[in-house]
Amino acid sequence: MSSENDRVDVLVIGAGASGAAFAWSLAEAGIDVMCLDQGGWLDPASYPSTEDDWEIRRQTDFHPDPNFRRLPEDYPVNDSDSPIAPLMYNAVGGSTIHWSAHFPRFHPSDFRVKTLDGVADDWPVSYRQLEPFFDLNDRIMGIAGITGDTAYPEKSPRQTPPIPFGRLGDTVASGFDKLGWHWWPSDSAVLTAAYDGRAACNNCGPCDIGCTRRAKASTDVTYWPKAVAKGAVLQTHARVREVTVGKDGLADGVVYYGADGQVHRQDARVVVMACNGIGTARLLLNSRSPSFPDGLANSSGLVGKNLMFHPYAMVTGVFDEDLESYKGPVGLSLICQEFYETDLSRGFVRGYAFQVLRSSGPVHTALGGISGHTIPWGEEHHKIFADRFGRTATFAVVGEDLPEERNQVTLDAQLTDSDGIPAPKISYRMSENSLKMMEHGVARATEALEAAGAHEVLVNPLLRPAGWHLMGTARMGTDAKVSVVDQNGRCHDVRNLFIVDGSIFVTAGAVNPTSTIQALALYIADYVKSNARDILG
Amino acid sequence: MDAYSTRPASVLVESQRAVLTDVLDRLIPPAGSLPAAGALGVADYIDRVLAGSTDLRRTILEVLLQIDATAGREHSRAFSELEGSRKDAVLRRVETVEPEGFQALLRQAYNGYYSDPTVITSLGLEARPPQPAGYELEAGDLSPLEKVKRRGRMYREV
Repeated sequence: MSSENDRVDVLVIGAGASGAAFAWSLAEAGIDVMCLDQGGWLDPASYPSTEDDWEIRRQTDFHPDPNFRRLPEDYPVNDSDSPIAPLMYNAVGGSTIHWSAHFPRFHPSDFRVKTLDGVADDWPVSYRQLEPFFDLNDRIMGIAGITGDTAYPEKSPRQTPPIPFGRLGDTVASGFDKLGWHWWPSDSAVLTAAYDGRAACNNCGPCDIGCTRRAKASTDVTYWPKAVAKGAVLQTHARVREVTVGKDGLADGVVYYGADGQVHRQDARVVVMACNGIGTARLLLNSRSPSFPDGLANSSGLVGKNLMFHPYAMVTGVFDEDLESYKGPVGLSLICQEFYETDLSRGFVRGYAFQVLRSSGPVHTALGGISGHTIPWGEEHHKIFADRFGRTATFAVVGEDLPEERNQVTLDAQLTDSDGIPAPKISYRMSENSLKMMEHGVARATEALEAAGAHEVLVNPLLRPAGWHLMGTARMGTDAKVSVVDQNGRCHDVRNLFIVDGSIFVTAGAVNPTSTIQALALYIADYVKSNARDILG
Repeated sequence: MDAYSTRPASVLVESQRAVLTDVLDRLIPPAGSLPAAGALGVADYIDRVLAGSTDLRRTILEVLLQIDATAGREHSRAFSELEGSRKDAVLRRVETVEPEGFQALLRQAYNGYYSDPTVITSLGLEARPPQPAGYELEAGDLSPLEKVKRRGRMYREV
């Protein structure tokens, strides 16, 4: 094993949404910070959207599922015991490379579910505590939107105007208006005007295969250039095998495989996990030692437990009118939060949102679009294709699935990555409450699409390739017996080990989590900076 | 499916290519200015894909074998010698018996057909990738938001 010599003050593992925000915050304060990531830098100019085979690349080397993509920097996930397949990307920028950049915040009520609804647990932080960090994060990422949304406390001004609706947005909004339901232009981490040296979106569509214009706020084009300019060191193609501990029970560094295939060691005063809701649990469980035989920071037994996805139902309306729905950012137009807050008369607790999606190109349409209804082959093929292409709007019904210990990440007994590191296995079941919630959501989505004029509605009640949001496997809390980290992201068991990704979520809310993940990472970074003397020595 | 690349054609022998072309013509028949998939040459596309993927090669060649075998078993003739409705009946039988393999073939047929510039142009689209040109998009009407605002606060105070 070779050593990388100098001990760093803070070592961050993972260069995605949370790791980038955290590293930038510390670097900006002049703190010595290094980040290791198993992936490398990608060149936006080479993304598939500039190539004729862009719709094929989505199914191969830009597939969102690492089990299909199988790039050298990916690790496999045994998802055979889950109706939802986890999705992620491994590169500088992490999953923000392929995300669709929908950027809603959690609601104030999401942090107080026990108090308000008597379920799960309250978070040890509140919306108001995170609010300055939501705002800070918005400024760095650059958010398109419009203030005044009645589903939230008033937000700070958005950096650029909202994403254009197009005909699709106008049509769908008319349905919501007929029913008197809430809707609002989506907060989107995609610029509609030049900002901070980045170009505006030109509505090309497939944000999920990378943004050549840098209009989409993947962290390789937002946080990382700023962090590196302030002295942060980012080492790529460095796959961490384990976090090591000294005789004092504190983390003292990591062991990782470098680009040369050799085992290396990096010492650190503080270690920060930012590997996503599956990767962080995997790494902690792989970091066993005599002091921590069940995995690092796992005296509660909760590392890997309480995995939360957002279950997604996809409800597609087919319209007579040409909506040109293949134009514009595929995941970004409107959001409806009419059914977000708890109303027990609906038959379930907590709620869901509708994220209104556009469609995509001809290949994607023929293969069934995002709801997966493949266009039949044979004599009717062309008629049905013409009926759907550019004429669909899809409601993603995004539900809150509450934490349950049976939903978990463990280590697979056989499966490994290319370096031989044990791979994760996930086990997941949806609760009765969630099933009722999704059934309600599908019915209401159908109602809204029909009100907007859809002549046909296609339903996928639970989308399998929908595990974009990975949460809950190292939850926050003030009681060390029932949580992994405290209210500052600091592990109860290992006081110089922090976790800043979606693992620490106590509950899942019913909106995309990246805005909240990053706000939380900045909040924890602020704590580290404010207590640097104690934490860094 | 594993990650594959399109490489020079090298997989299909003449008889396999002939069956595949006939199958493609039934999967996506001609309509107006739109050609049938076989006549368009989608078999060449699939051949290149199969050259880059061992898994897919095995799967799709097996499906082609099943198609010809089913035609022989049920109609005592080669698939290519059957009339259209009987070809379709054979394909539906194989689709039922070998759903995963058939879907893999159908996916490649759609990939090849709808990536072809001739088809894209016939659909009234520009045969180009999304970038660098992008698209013009209508801004949309924000005035109905006033109605949403009048309904008042939607979130719960805590």
